[in-house]
Amino acid sequence: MVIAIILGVCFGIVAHKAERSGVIWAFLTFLIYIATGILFYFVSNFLPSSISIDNVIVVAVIEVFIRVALSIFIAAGFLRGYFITILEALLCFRYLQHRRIVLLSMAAVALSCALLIATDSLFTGFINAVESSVSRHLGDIILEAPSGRTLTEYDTFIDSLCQTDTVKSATAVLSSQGLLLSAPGKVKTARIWGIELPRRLAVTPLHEALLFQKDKPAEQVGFAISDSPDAIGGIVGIGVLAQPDEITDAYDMDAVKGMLGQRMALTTGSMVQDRTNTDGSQPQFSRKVIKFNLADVAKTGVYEFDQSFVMLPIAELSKTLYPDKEPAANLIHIRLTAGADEEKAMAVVRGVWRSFAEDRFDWYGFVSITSAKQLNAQLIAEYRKQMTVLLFIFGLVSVGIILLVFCIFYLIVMTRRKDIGVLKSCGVSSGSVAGLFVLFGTVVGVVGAAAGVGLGWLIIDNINAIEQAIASVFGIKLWKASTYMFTQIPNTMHWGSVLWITAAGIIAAAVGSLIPAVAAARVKPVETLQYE
Amino acid sequence: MIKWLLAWRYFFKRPISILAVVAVALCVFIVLVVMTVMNGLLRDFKQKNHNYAGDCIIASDSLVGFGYYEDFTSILEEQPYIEAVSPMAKGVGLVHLKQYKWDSGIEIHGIDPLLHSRVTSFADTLHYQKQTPEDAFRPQYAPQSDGCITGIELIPLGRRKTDGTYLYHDKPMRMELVISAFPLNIKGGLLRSLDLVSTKSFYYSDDSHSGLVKVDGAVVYIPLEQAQILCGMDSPIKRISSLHIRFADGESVQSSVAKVRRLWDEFVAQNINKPGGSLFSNVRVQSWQQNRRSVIAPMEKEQIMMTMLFLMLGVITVFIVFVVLYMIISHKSKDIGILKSMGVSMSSILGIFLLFSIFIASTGSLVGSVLGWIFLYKINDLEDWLYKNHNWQLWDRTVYAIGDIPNQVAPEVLAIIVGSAVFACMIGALVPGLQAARKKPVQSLQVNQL
Amino acid sequence: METIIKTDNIKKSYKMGKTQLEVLRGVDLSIKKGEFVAVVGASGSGKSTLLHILGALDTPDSGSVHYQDQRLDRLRWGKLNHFRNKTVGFVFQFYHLLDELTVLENAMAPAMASVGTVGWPSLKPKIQERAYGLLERFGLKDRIKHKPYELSGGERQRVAIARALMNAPPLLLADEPTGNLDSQTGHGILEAFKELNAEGQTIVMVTHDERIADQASRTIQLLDGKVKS
Repeated sequence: MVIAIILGVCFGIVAHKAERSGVIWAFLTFLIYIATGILFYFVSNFLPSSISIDNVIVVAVIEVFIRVALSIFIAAGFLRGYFITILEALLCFRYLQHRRIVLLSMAAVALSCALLIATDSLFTGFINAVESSVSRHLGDIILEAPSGRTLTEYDTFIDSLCQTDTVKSATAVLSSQGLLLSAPGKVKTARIWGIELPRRLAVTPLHEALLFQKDKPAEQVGFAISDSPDAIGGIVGIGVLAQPDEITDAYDMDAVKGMLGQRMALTTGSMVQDRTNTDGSQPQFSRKVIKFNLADVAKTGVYEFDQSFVMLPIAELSKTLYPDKEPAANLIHIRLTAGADEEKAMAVVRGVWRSFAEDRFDWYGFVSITSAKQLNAQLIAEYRKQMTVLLFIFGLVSVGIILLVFCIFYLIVMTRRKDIGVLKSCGVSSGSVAGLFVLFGTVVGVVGAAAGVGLGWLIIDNINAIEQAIASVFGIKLWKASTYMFTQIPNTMHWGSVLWITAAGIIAAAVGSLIPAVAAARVKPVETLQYE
Repeated sequence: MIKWLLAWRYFFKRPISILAVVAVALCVFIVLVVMTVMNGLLRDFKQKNHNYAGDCIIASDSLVGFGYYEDFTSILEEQPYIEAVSPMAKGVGLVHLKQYKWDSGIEIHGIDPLLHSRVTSFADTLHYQKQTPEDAFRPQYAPQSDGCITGIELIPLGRRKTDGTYLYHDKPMRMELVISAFPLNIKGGLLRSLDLVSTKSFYYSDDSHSGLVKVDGAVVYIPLEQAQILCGMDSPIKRISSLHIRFADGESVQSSVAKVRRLWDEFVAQNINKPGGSLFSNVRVQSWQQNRRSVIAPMEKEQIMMTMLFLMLGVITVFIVFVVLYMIISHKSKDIGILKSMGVSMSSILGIFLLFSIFIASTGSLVGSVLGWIFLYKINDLEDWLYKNHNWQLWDRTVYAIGDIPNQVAPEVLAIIVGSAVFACMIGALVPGLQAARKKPVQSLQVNQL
Repeated sequence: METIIKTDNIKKSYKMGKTQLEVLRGVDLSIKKGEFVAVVGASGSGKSTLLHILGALDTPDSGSVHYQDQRLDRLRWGKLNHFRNKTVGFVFQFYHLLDELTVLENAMAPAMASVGTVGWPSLKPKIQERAYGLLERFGLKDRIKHKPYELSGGERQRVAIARALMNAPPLLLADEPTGNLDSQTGHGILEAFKELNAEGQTIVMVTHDERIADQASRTIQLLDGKVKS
């Protein structure tokens, strides 16, 4: 700490001696600050093998010292007027007030910041939505039996899962591919799920996605058909029954509601499985047809799910597919308790599965236990990359904007040469003059970036309304669930990126004002004061 | 002449004009690269759709299809502007791949491979039977069995390599695909109510790689008659889902489609009262663009959105040129006064600055296009290099079914970009130029102007 | 009387395209404390250049400038600024006020140039008081909130004088201070100078007008870059 103070004082003395005060000093200080940060980052991240732990600590200590010293210097500098004199502050403020072109440069900074923030937030929101939609609707951890195998007595397994600390709830699913004939001439391929109703509602937000039963208490939600109590009921994704409108991208709700109770036919295949036939031949494959009535319609907002799901009671599906077996499932969807560590939870699930399945199924080792995040990991990595590419392109756009700011500042300096001459004849140093313009640039950056954040936030917060307005005015639906997976545009602000974008905006504006500032500093008073 | 001379001098004597040139070059570069790639992808995609669908499609919206197609086909074949006609029976089905115990929903395309190859580029999408499409449904390992051709993305065997091409075996592997479908009667209900589903085994005989992810990932081609049986289209009248037509070379698609539409309307009028005639109401005659609109439109929309974003770049160029010129004019206002006192007209002075902006735009565009062209020329090499050395691909080929990054600079795109650059620069020059032109000589000659 | 500023054989030339233009060809002069010196000469005789060198806005090619014991042409940047700020006050022909600042702020500018933002509140009353005093003295009391372009030429020049005097510089340099004013207003400015000189202010004024020069206590004539004795 003592060293740091001494360093700070030394900086101060150097600054004082050089008398090249002004914002240049602040800027240099800032650069050293950033440079130490970057240096430290590189040292600690890219050279771990060649540097021993002790050296890393030494580097860290040095870094902290330099930073503390700089902080002291900055504090002292503001007190003593190294960075900015009252005249600079006043002139900077007045220039800002009186130049309409300043608004242009602020607008430019604001626009590029808003653009980057909106893009970043949109992408991050989208990626998060992709990541969370799977875990929301399928559970945090998914246990899947190898293809063609089913597990029975899943109740026992789920009970023992729920007894652990990490698992909040779990539910069994019997999944298979199928074809659905929902109305004359309307055939669609569908993913057929046998589900356990009360338990599923605890694991996923299916309850709120149901069109007809969403207001009922959870215990009463079921597959019951009001007119014919004996019939099998089924819940079908809204996209399976109807196609969204070409222009509005909305479903015809009345038509969908009119289908309630309608009889539908479903076909799916099954292997008479888990045993080889006595004569050693392959097990026989057969198609089964189930007829059911529409008990409810699910609208999750996730296009893929809405387009493909047909849910039946697991018992009924199991009975049809495997008539000689007790209820079977091939998927277990597991919801973890809030804040549970995923890695640990996976280990717990694996352990419970082992003790449950070891004696029951000879295939227990082939089961796949994955987290929802892993399921989409490759896709998400790809989206991230696209985001980077897009941000890079917009970064280039921002370079153009910096050029613009630079031009504007140059223009201002050029038209202010007389003022600069006057200031210099009054004894204002070149550094101070340069500092004036860098300060000016920084203020433009700060105001512009702040406006950009505001604008970006406005855009992101109202993006769905904006999109709807565009759709109603121009008749173009920009965001279609079929292309972008979700019915709603993600509208959460990604504040993490706001920080660096804002910082980049401010630094860019300050850097953009550097050359004009130097040009200003080099103005010779004698030349500019000859004439008015 | 003085106009040219002054514009030229201003351009070379003022370092700040370099800045404007750099700005223009940067804009042209970015827009050129992005537009070429986007445009190329779109053109590629459209071409693939055209290849897949043929020139004109007479298709039913309903899976039930329509009948009497053989009669209409013979009418069509008499027309001189029609090269070939191919019927297709479409259905939605389930496939079960015995070997892998794997199930999936599929789209059944029942075709006559030879006919279909004459209408579309079907044969080119095949691998083993490219030269002999008539044998496409004859598996090499079991020539007597019914073959099927699967879209290359359908069976998830991970055959797509990191460069976007596919792994093929020397000969098709033996695979049995059990395909099931609902046989639908004319009303769309189930035809054979006793054993509701029709199921049949087919043997994999080839892959079809159309380059369209949704087609390659969902379609199984089987012989037309088999598809009709599976989907219930064989009785009581033989039905199909669509007729694909190829026009003779040199015929305009649009007018030929209109002719086909007239023929079809006549045909419908004659046959509407026959049994199953009501099915004609679901049928549309469309050009391939109309038919594939639902898949092409989103991509076009995306391109438009990108273009809009990059319009912003143009706006920035306008401002930069504006500021640069403003600066030069504020320096040269005395020159302007002198020129005016010599009797140079207002329009000439405006002309100097417009000319100046055109110099900037053309130099910037030239630099930007050359750089853009070089970048595009090398873009695939660059991507390969990045992939080899840094394991980075712009589009991960295992996720996106894209081959090379398109890098053919379309002259019209280049022309549009350069044109807009010049236009943007001139807009930017207009305001300061006008300001200069409107200056009174007395004003600018006074000493109190710097 | 002690000498406040002294030049010794200073030479200065400018490049005009390819020709070298010798403006000062060895000027020797010394100005004593409390003098009111007028430098006269035809246009192009190097008056303004001399004044700029005296005010450390410019440096001579050869020769030396002494302010008391300091050699101005050898001063480092920082000291130079300090000198300009504290030791000389400039009055220009074209006033050169800052359009963005009010009259009061223009007058205070030299004082503000050496004060940090944090130190400002404590120093402001003193500085403001001095500026008020100066402006009041030159009859600008009710103009302090105005912007320079709202003033007449004479008023502007008086603001410029107030500004030049702000830091109480020992040396006041004026470059054609009446050159842009009608004779009556110009006369008022000269009266102000004389009054200041009577209070002990050293003034060096450049003019091409002999009648104005007559008002000064001493006249130095420049001819072809040399002092005509």
